[in-house]
Amino acid sequence: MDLIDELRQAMIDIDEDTVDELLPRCIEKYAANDIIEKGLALGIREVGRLFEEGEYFLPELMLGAEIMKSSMNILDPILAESNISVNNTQVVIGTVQGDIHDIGKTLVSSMLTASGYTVHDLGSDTPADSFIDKLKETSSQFLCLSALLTTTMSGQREIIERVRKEGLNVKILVGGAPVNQRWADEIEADGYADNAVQAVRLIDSMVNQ
Amino acid sequence: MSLFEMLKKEKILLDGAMGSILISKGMKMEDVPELWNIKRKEDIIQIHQDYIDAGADLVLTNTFGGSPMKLSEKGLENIAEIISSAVYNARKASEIVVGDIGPTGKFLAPMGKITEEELFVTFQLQAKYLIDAGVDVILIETMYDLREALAAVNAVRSLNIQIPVMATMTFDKKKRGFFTIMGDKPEKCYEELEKAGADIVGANCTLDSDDMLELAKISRTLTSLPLLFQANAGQPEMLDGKVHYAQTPDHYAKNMISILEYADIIGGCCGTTPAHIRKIREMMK
Repeated sequence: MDLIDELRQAMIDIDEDTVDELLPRCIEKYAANDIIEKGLALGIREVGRLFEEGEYFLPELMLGAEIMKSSMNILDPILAESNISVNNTQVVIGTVQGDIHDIGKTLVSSMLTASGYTVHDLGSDTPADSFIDKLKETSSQFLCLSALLTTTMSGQREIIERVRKEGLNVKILVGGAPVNQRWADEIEADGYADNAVQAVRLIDSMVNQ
Repeated sequence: MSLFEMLKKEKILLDGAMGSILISKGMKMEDVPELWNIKRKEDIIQIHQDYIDAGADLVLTNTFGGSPMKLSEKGLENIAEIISSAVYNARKASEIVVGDIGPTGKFLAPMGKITEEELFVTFQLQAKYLIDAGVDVILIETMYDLREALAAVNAVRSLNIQIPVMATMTFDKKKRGFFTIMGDKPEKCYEELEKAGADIVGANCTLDSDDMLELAKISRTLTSLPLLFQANAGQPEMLDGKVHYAQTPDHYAKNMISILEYADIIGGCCGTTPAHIRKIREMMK
């Protein structure tokens, strides 16, 4: 088996030690973008698929994203040196005000970072102003709003209205336990994802439109 | 009469949801539900009474989020007072009172940074306050991580007090069966909870009564302990600006009665109301 294939398999197996061991050897032998595209990215995508299939669960998805992130930290400077264009899509993400739930949002944030997006994670209990300020400051193309409570879902609507009023050119995605497509349509969000894997897929598809 | 004496004679019906009713009574999202035990005492007693009037055998204290870890985050220090008020309010309506312990909302590694020791300490204190205030039973519920549930059961048992402990996990229905979000199967959960000292095990939340019936059937083959199930009345949806749960009292009660073929105790979770409990009681007769 090729080294990159081994790396991909180690990623799929959430085998952090093997990834750490294989990555420097891959760097000696292959271009950084090949290591990512043929190895790590394919691996994390398979991890996501296994999560959706119910073979993997939150801990595996989280660990997979963490391994991906730490590997990307090593590969990013090499990519920069070799002038290879990287994904420069930026995403602002946070849980709406009044809602302290973090985990779903953090997973989406981790999976997006693992997929090469630049993510500005504003944490939980985030006021509308902070979202607006960050969008303006970074000129991000996407905004992801999480709400876990039926009592805080309406916060998503308020922020969407604010963003539209400000005339910001940004696609807005919503998610969270009580959120569904019908709610996303009602509050005129651009998209809804049921889980972190779908969120990445949705943004991928919107970027490629 | 103790819970075990009751169980020998009959199946037991718990109450329904608390949180969704507090919201309908005007609780704001920034309010702490447990603080209503003191500030809105009469309302809390009335909710308990409504469930007893509807036919519930016993009620749960309004202490789901009453772990010192959670309450101190909201700047509250009078935790013993909050919990003893909750027990007082439940006792006003019900002869047997179940002390409710929910998850801290924090995550153990790799999702979060909390440790099992920290969970143990906070649950031990919550359980001590509940027991000092006179609850007859402890219910540890809505646990999505078996490790947190075990920390809670261990914490109650560490007090060396003979009190019935019920522990219910929250499962998702996946292609390969029922799992917690962390990937634990019901058989593993029931076995480890029993080892830690739980007397009654089962599931609550997330699953509606249709899926819970399926889980109840499977669960009966997985443990010899008495079983407890509290299903949601569907999934929360926003309709005309209001939270709505799809399962009607009739539909819900029919499923819960079927669950009683496999379970010893049933009750309502999110979206259930006294109307749901009343319907179940009618059909139990």
